[in-house]
Amino acid sequence: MTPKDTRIRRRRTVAVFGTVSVLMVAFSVRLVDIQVVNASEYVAESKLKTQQSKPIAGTRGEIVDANGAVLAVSNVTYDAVIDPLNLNTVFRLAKDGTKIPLAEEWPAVSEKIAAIIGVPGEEIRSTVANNFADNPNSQYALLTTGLSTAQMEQLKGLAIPYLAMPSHESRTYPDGAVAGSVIGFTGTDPEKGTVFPQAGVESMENACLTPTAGSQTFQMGGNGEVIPGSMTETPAVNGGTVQLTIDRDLNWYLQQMIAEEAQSKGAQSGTVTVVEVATGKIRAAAEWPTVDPNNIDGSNPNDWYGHIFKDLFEPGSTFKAATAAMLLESGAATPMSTVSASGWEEFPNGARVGDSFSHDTYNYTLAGALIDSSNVALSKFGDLMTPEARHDFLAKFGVGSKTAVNFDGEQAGVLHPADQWDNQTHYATTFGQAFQVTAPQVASFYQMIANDGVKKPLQLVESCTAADGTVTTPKVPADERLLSEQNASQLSTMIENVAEQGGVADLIKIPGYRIAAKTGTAQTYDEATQAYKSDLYDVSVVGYAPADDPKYVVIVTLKEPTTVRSSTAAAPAFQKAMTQVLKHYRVMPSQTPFTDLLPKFG
Amino acid sequence: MSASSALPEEPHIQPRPGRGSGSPRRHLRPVDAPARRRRPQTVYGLTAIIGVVLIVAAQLFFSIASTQTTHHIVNLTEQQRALTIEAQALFDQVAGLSSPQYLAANATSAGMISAGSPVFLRLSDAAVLGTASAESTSTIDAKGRAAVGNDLIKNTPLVMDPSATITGQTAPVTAPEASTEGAGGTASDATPAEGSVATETELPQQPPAISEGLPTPETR
Repeated sequence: MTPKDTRIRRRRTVAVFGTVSVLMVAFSVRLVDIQVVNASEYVAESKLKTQQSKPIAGTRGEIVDANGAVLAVSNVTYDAVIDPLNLNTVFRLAKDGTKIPLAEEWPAVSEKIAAIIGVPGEEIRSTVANNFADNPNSQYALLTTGLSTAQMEQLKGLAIPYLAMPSHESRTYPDGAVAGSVIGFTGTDPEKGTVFPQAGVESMENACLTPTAGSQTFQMGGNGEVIPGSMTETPAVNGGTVQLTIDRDLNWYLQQMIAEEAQSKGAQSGTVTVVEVATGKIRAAAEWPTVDPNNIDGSNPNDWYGHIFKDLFEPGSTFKAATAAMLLESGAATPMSTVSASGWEEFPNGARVGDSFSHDTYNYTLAGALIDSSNVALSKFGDLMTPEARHDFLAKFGVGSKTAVNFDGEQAGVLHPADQWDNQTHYATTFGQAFQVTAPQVASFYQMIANDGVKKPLQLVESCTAADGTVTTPKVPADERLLSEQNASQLSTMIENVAEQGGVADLIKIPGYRIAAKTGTAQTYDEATQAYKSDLYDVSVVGYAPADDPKYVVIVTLKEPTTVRSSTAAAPAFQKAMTQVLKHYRVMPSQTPFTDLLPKFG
Repeated sequence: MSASSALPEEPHIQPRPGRGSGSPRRHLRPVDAPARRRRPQTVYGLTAIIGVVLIVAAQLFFSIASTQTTHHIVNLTEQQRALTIEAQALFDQVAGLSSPQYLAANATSAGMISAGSPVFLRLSDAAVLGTASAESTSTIDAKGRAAVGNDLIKNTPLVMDPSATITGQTAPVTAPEASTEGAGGTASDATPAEGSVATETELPQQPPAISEGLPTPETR
């Protein structure tokens, strides 16, 4: 080869390679431009055109009782929806031109549907006809909501093409009205079809119970099919489980018992609240009348939101123990201090106070004043302290502030400042009138006495367990010592003497156990007449057992009993309630006998 | 005249330059016999071809297997959906049956009562703690005066007394299912049977009188 040939060949090679490399560079630049520089733009554009996402709903959490029994759980219900445009459109043409329907006629079908969903056939047909008349283009006529899964399966079995059964979340309460007012209830948002809370724990603990929706993202091809491999899923997070301190079985018994008792005594309503002494946990909150969250329309709207945390009443004689407590704690008196009191007295400031029974002038000891529940004696004892001091002690004992439960709609009660007390209020506050409390506040006060003077805040919610297993307990305020141990012990002995020597001693006796209890008969205020009602009282009995080592506080209230009008009306209910509590929790009978009998007079 | 060429004869062969002369010497040697061309080993070729075939076959196999699995998954998902719905329907049927009011109404129908304060027997010394008493009146009437409702079982007949429900009233007659597929249908809200008079509650059975200590079984 000649050098010239070689040169020519080399030039051709260079030329070819040069062209190829130029092309390659061009392509590379373009590639980098597409894949790196403008990548996000193009990806976003493609996603806009093909990406779809579908939300995945989570399940609302359960509510369970102290032992794990389910009180509220999520369920599925279905609607029945007809497409009015497409009724009877499936037919075939016969040879002579007549239309032969392939499916049954609408009236026959509507009767079949009626039999399953429990709505009369007439109503179904008229609903659909009206829907069609109102809007000829409508393809949605709602027949009914709230169908069960079994009914949905039956409707599916009918194989009607223009009948759809969209599903909705709903809530089921397997135990019905047991603790119904505490659990609360939910409603269904008609637009979104989701469940939203309306009362009680469902509302209070909604943050724990609400699920987090997930989503399913995928890319759709031109014909509407999902492009394989493009589906990504963010799983939904179910709602957490709320555990209450309430004991379901105990709550049922107390609800049944107080309903029977309230009805036999002709009372308007009744409640029982049980508080565990050592922990302040509410083990039962029973009331009658109450609400069944499965069917709130079956009960009076007044009862939907519960009474225990909302109903205010003047406690009456049960808060004489509070006066005794503040006298002991401030050192103004001892259990053996005496005052002279008659059955009815007019005080220097013009106030008039009378006892529930007439008697001569006695030299009542503080213990005796509690045992005989003498208003006059307590009024005189109350004068050993300033009204401001008494007011501050009442506030310290919880009157006028909500309990730590902070229930949905809980009332704080009413306690007027000392400088607003008139001459009658000055004395009435010593025997539990002229201020208002709720039953849990009274129970909390007695829990403090039973717990050697240390108040443990009331607690209704035990914990919230999230779907991944994390357990969170509610923030409960710190314990408070309100009475010294010695004073609490002396006060407890006095209250046990009330149970032993007082008027209802025989009615509340529980064989084998030492009981400490106090009754209360309080006048009820009538808003209409702006005066106390005559001969109608809010009665209550509060106590704890066993008195030698208290475990549970029980308060029973009856509103305006008519067959027996004093606190004797609530005494049998208290005895039954306390017996059941002791039995339910297998509390050992009292080992040491009661020996500390205190004299009534000194 | 024989004037032959007087030209001197040119030698045919160039004078071989002697060693040490300036011009380069070309090294020539006789050509060897060409190296025997070995046949390319078929092993390598076969390996390559078989490898390609295997790869293609494996890819085919995996794609078929994954499609099968996808079918299987779809089947299972369908089954799961159907079972979930069945579980839901069954849950609806039994919801409420373990509620305390239903159990108590059944217990009362069986003659049980709720009464008496707790008594304990200490095994170490056979001491009885608490005060024992024979009770015959129940502190509550869970059947006749049942006051704690449960909408889920309001029409469910009691197990121990099929003619009553938790409200103590006669259980309504279940409406005949109109649909052909009436499998496991719940009793629809049919009109309750007429005469919803409370069935007379049976008196709780009196416990046997104990006159000579606990009855002891005969032993051999």
